[in-house]
Amino acid sequence: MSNGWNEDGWKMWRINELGHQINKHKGLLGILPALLFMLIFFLGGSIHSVTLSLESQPVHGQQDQFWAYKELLNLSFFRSVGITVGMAAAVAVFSGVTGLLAALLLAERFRQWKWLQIIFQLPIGIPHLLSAYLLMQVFMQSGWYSRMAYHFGWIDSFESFPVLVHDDWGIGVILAYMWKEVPFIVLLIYPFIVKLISDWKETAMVLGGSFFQTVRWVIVPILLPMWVGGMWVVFAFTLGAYEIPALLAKTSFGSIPVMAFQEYSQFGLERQPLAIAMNLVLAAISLLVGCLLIYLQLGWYKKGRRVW
Amino acid sequence: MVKRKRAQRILIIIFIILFSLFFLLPFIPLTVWSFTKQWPWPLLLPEKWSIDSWKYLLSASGRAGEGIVNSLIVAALTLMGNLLLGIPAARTLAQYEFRGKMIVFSILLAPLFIPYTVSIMGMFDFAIRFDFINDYISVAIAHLLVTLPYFVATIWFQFRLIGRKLQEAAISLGANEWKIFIWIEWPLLLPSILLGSFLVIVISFSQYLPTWIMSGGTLLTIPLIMFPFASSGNSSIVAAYSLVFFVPILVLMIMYYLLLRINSRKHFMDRR
Repeated sequence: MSNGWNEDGWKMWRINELGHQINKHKGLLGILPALLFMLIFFLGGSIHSVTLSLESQPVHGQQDQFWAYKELLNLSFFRSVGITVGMAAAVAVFSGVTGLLAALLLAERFRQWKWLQIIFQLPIGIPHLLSAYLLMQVFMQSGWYSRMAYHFGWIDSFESFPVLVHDDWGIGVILAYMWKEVPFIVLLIYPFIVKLISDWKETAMVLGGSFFQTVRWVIVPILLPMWVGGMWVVFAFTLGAYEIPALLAKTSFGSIPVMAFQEYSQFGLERQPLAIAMNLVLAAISLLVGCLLIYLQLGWYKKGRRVW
Repeated sequence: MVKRKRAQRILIIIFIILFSLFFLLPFIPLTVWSFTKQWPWPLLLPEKWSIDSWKYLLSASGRAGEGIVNSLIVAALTLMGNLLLGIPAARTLAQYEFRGKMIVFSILLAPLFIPYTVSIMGMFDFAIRFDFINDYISVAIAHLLVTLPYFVATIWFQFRLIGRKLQEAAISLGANEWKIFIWIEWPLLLPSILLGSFLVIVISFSQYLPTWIMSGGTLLTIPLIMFPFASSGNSSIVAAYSLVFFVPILVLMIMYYLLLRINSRKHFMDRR
C-alpha cells in the first residue's frame, strides 16, 4: 500500500476483480444445459441399459447376471461382428474416397455448375428408409436397370441380371449407403476445398505448382483430420443403422443392428438384455476405432502432417 | 501429353455423369410406380395406369395425414430443444477458452461417433418409469439426442467465423449480453441457424429406430407407417408414401432458400 494506494482503493480493485472474474465465467453457463442433457440421456441412458441387461432373469430360472453376454460368445455372433464391422468400414472408405474425389472435381472444374452441386447434395434430404427402397426398385433383378439392360440388348431374361439386392456380399447395402453418404462427405468438405483453392491459387501460380501439388501440400494436410472424422461418422452410423440392411440384405446376412432389433421387438421382454448387449458391442467397437484414429492423428501431427 | 489430358477430361466427365445418374435415376421408376399397380418385367413403362395407391393413401386407413402430423409435431419439438440447448452451447464453445473444453465438445458430439441405440433403449426404460411423459415429448427427446450434434457443429462453425470483434466493440459501447446476442449475433447467425434447422427437421423426419424404441412402436410417424409396406414389397403404395415424404422436405428446402434470399437481400439493402 505504500505506493500511493489507500485502503479503499485496494478494496474497490478487489471487488472489481471479483466482478470481472464472475463475468468472465458467466459465459460458460451456456454450455450447461446441453452438456447435462447429453450426460443424462446419452451417458445415463447407456449406463442404465447396461444395468438393465445385467439384471438376472428369473424367467430362465438361472441366476447368472451375465447370461446375455455369455450367449453372445459363439462363432456365429463373431461372424456377424466381422460382417457388420467390415460392411461399415467398406461403406466408410468407399464413401470417403468417392466423396473426396467428387468434392475436388466439383470445386476445381464445375464450380459454376450450380445444378450439379444440387444433384450431389440432394440425397442428404432423403431418409435412409427411402434410399433403401429407391435403390431396391432399380437394382433388383426385375428392377428398372435390368429392364434398361434388356432394352439395350445386354440381357435376355431377368435371371441373367446380376444379383445385387438380397445378395451374398451385401452389394445392395453398400450401394444404398453410398447413395446417402457420398453426398454427406461432399457437403462436409466441399466448402473448405473451395476456400482453400481460392486462398492458395495465387501462391500456387507464383510457385508454379499444379493443381495436384496444391492437393498434396495444402488441401490434404489441412483437410485430412476432418475427412477422416467424416468417415468415422459414416462408419459409426452404418454400424448402428437398421433400415438399409433390414430391407436390402438377405435374412441370413447377419447384420447386428437387424438381429438386435428383432430380439428387442419380437421375442419379448426377457430377450431385451440380448439386444442391449449386441448394441453395446457395436458402441464399444466404434469407441475403440475412434481412440485408434485419434492416436494415429496425434502421431501424424508429430510427423509434420506428411501423407506420403 | 495432350492425349493424356484429353483422356483425363473424358474420365472426369464420365465419373461425374455416372454419379449424377446414380443419384437421380431411381426417382423416375419411383414416380411411375406410384401411378400403377402392375408393371411386369421388361416393360420400361407400364401399360395400365391407376391412382388406387393415392386413393388408399388419402383414405382414413392410409393414415398418411396422421403420419405427417405426428412427424411434424415431433420435428417441431425437436427443433425447439435444439434451439434452446444448441445455440448457447455453440456460443460458449466458440467464444470461451476453458479447461476440459475438448472433453465437453466431444461429449456433445458423441452421438455422431458412437452408435446411440443402446442409450435410447435405456432412455425408453426411464420414460416408462415416468409414464406421465407424453409420447411426443419422449420421442422428441430421443430425436434431440440424435440431432443436437449436427446442430451444435453447424452453429459453432458460424460463431467461429463471426469472431469476437464486433461483440467487444458493443461491450465498450455499453451493450449487455442480451443486446449483443439479439442485435449482433442473431442476424449474423441466421443463415446457419436456418441450415441447422433444416438438417434437424430432415433428420428427425427420417428416424425409424429411435422413434420405434422410444414410443414402443405406437407413435406412427411417416417412417413407421411406411416400413411394413416397404418390407412387404408393395411397390405401388410405398412409392406413393415416398412421394408424400418428399413434399415436406421439398417445401422445407424451398423455404430455406427463400428465407436465405430474403435475409441476404435485407443485408444488401442495409449496406446501401
